[in-house]
Amino acid sequence: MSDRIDKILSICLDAIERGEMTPEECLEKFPQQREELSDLLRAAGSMREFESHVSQAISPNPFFRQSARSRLLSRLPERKPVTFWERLRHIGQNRKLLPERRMTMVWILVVALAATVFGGGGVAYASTGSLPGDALYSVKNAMEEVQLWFNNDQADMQLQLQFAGLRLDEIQALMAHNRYGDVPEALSGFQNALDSFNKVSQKDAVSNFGEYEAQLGKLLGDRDRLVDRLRDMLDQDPAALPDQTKLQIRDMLKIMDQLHDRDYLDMEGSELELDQDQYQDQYQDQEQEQEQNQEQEQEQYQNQEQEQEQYQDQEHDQQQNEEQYQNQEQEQQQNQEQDQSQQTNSPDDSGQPESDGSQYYQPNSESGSGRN
Amino acid sequence: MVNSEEELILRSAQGDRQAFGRLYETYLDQIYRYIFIRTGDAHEAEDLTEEVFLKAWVALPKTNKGTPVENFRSWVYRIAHNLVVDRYRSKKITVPLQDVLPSSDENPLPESVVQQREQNNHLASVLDQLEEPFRQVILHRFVHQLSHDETARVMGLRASHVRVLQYRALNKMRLLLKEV
Repeated sequence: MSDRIDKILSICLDAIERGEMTPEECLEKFPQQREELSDLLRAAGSMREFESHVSQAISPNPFFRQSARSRLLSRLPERKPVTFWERLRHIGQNRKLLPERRMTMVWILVVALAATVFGGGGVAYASTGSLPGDALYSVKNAMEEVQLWFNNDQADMQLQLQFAGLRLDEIQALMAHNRYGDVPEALSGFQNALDSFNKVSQKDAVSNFGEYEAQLGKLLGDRDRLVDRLRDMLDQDPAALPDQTKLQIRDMLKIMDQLHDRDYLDMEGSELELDQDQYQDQYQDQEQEQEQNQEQEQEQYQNQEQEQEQYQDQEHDQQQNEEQYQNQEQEQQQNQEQDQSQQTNSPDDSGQPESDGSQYYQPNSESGSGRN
Repeated sequence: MVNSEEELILRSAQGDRQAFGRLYETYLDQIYRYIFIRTGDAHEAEDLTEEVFLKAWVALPKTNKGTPVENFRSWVYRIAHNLVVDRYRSKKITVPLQDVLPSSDENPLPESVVQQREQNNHLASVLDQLEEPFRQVILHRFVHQLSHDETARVMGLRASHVRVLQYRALNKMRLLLKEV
């Protein structure tokens, strides 16, 4: 139900934004969802009113705005000249070609055709079956690069998947010829192709990622089967393999494991997941901060309470001390009176009090510093 | 005199600084507002707005699209989005909308304005209660007035994800608004 209502809601919002429909017309069009849709559109409507408030409330400082353009223009860096290869690629991908660009492309095609006809073609053809480590392998890579120049993003995605598949075929062929030392180059090519596919898939114009899911799934399946084969070789008959080969296979498996960790099938959702992870991290951090703040506040509160209690205790002690001191003074007075009365009987008695009165003030002076 | 935005973009890509200056003026307020809402700091928003366009200037010749107007807008927003995310990756902050919007006015206001302001503050508090992806989708769609596709580009999501997030966000808003 919700899966359906989200589509209906976006259809209605799109139509309302384009001025093709009023909210009421939209509700009439979808009577079954009328109640829920009505509330949702109302919430969306209130956000539109909110927008005008935000626009009025938040705007750049007039002084900033006044000098913004001249300041930006003075800070604009010099453009690095676009390289020949970048320009070439740009020409291939730009659908609205300017006349001069169109002419450049025509010239490149003429040169490429000439190269193919007068000798280059044979080399290019021969290179198609080459493997990493072969003399013609760089020609094969260059030919693939040329194919990418003249395509749009959609075709690029298809080509990158095709190239990734070719790299896996090359790995199998290299293994069949016991050329394990050249496999890392093909693996690197496999990874580069998928990285490029990923990069292109995130560009604006590409939205039909789903078309490629099956192909990606097959590629990743092939890759996994290769990993299994390599593991089997090491596990089942390690003695049959030269030490150098075993080392190479182990290195290869390490690289394969790294590749395996990057599940390209989740690429489309990966940014959502990343963003959500990022948001989740934010929540967690915020929650942690809040908890820390709460703990700090609690500690502060507890400390304050303790201080208050201490203060009350100290006041209580002080009162006791004062009472004691008063008692002592009374005792002193009584003693003095007794002394005076006794002086007649025993004139050698010093008349010192039983305890020194200063000991009652000591804690008070300490507590006084503690309160501060 | 260059008039259409598409021409301005093409000329900017070819190195025409004045054309790029005009594009900057066109999008200055929008990008500033976008960044200010995310950062809550006017000076930071000014600096980052300028940085967005410096990055755009450098990257423009490398873009390989036909650069239609709509794409340029979402492209610049996307740069702003990435810049804010990068800048605040370590801090990971979310500024409450209520802190970003002016809270009161010293001068007496007509009752209708006061009521509207209260309603807006209430909406801001509701938005602040939404989980971050929901909040972002609502802000992109209704405050920055980006389409479903543009929002998807800026946030790096599929348009279908944006539609689902939008529905869930508005549904949650609806419930929060009903609570009062």
